[in-house]
Amino acid sequence: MRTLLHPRRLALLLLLLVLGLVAGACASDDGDGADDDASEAAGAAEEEDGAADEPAEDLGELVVGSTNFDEQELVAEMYALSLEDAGFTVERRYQLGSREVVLPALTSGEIDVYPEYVGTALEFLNDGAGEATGDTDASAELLRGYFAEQGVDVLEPSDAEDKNGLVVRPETAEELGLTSVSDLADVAGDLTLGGPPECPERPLCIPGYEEAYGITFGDFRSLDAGGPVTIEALESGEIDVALLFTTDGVIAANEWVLLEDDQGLQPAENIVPVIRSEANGDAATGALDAVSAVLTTENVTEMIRRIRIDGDDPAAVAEEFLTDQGVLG
Amino acid sequence: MSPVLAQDSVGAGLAGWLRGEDFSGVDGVPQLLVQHLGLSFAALGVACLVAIPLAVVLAHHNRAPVLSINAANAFRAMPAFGLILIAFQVGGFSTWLLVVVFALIGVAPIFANTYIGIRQVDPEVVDAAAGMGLTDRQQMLQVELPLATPVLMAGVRTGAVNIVATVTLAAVVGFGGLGLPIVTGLARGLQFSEIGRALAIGGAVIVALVSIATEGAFGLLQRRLVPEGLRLRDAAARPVDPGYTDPAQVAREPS
Repeated sequence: MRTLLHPRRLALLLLLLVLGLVAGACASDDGDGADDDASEAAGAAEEEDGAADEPAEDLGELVVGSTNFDEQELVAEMYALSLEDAGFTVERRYQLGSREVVLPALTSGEIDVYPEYVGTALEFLNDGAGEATGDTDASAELLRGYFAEQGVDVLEPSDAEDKNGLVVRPETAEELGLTSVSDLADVAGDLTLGGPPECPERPLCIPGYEEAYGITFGDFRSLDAGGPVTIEALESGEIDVALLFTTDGVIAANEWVLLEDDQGLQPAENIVPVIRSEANGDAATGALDAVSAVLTTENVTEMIRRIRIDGDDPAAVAEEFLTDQGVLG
Repeated sequence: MSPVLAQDSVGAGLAGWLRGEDFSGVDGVPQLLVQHLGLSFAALGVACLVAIPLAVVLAHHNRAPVLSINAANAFRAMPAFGLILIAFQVGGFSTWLLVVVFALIGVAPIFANTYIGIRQVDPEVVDAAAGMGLTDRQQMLQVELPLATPVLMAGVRTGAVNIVATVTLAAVVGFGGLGLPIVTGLARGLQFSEIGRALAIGGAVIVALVSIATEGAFGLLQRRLVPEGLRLRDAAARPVDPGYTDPAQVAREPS
């Protein structure tokens, strides 16, 4: 036993002990998110938030997810804040990937709720059957049917819409006389389109433009979902036409031209929360509906502008907005 | 679409893809390969140009031995992914910045091996060279550098393989290369899209094959570049001193 107390060994032992404690502390931090710790964690949260005006009742845990672009993170954060306000413990898992990654995460229960878009989601689930229309309620109803099979509830769509849009630089628009997507028909063969990697297989992306407008681009470059890579590519002239989101403040800030979807390829794309039926309840529905009620295309566009151009933190923008709108606190 | 039909069209698409036709918006494999190797070799060239002369001079004068090797090793810890994103933030679609980023990946093994290769040249040989009146420069270029080639080339080979494997990441910032089908396939969802699955898995297999081929090609090059005299000496010395240089040399057939 004497050897055990050798100073060097003792030091080593202490070091291990410290490391163990640190690891333990980290683990229990993470543990706040784990299901079985939910009540304990909520208890701790209440103690910490002792000063808060409304001692929130513990309603269990929800995992809020999002796909891989800023607007998704913004809206998902609003859902998270509102759910927390209602008394849920929320775990945030944002920027998980494209819909192809996030939707299976929802149906398998990895996440409980994320923001969807009525039209694109419908065309995704019906394998591009072309059922999505400009009528938000009709599309949402159809979407409900498809999602119900997967055990997912579709709540009330918000007024905020965000569609896919084709965007060109003003020089290109002027040179080729482009104002609407139809104008591309004759010149598209010489142009390069840049967009998300999933575009060639999405009914409302390349196949849609080919079918509705007879447009076939000369080349396609696989970039990202309306993110910095696509923006940079359009800015630098690597691509001529970019697939961006219509709420993206970058379009206006660069004086780029959003081509009008004159054939109405893009259906209604209202932002709508989708939540696993098992995780849904009156309290959750109420909290998510409260967010949907205050979203409009204009205020979402303005918030995206703040995030993309001014570099504001999505979480801060979301909290400020919901507080201003009276959804929080 | 019936699954059989889809299978057929994916199979046909894949075959065309390997021959160089676009496959669902992704450039053909030959084009991707050219982009990939082009960027890789540019980066390797820059890495060699920076690392070899620096290492030769530092090692010849025995400057900063500990610092040099440790600095080279520290370079190995640099996360390529982070560097690429920083380069994109700074320079956008600048191929040159990407070349620099990937060159940094190769600098560490090339520098370290060159330095060690020069340091382990028998000091008596260098002494003899100095005694014969060779200048510093001549000693470095005509004595030390040739004698260090086996170890140096092992470093270049490691660097080349590292670079070729890492250039795959460039697809994340919109550069083509063999990472593109992988990134694209993942974004399309492996569960949903047969084409996505084919792209991602096909891309991964091709990257692996290209890395192995690079290893092989540089192995051959390494054999070629070792001076005849050194080869003969090593062959003669092997029974006495088998661990003289790098492991790759042990595998080499005596000439």
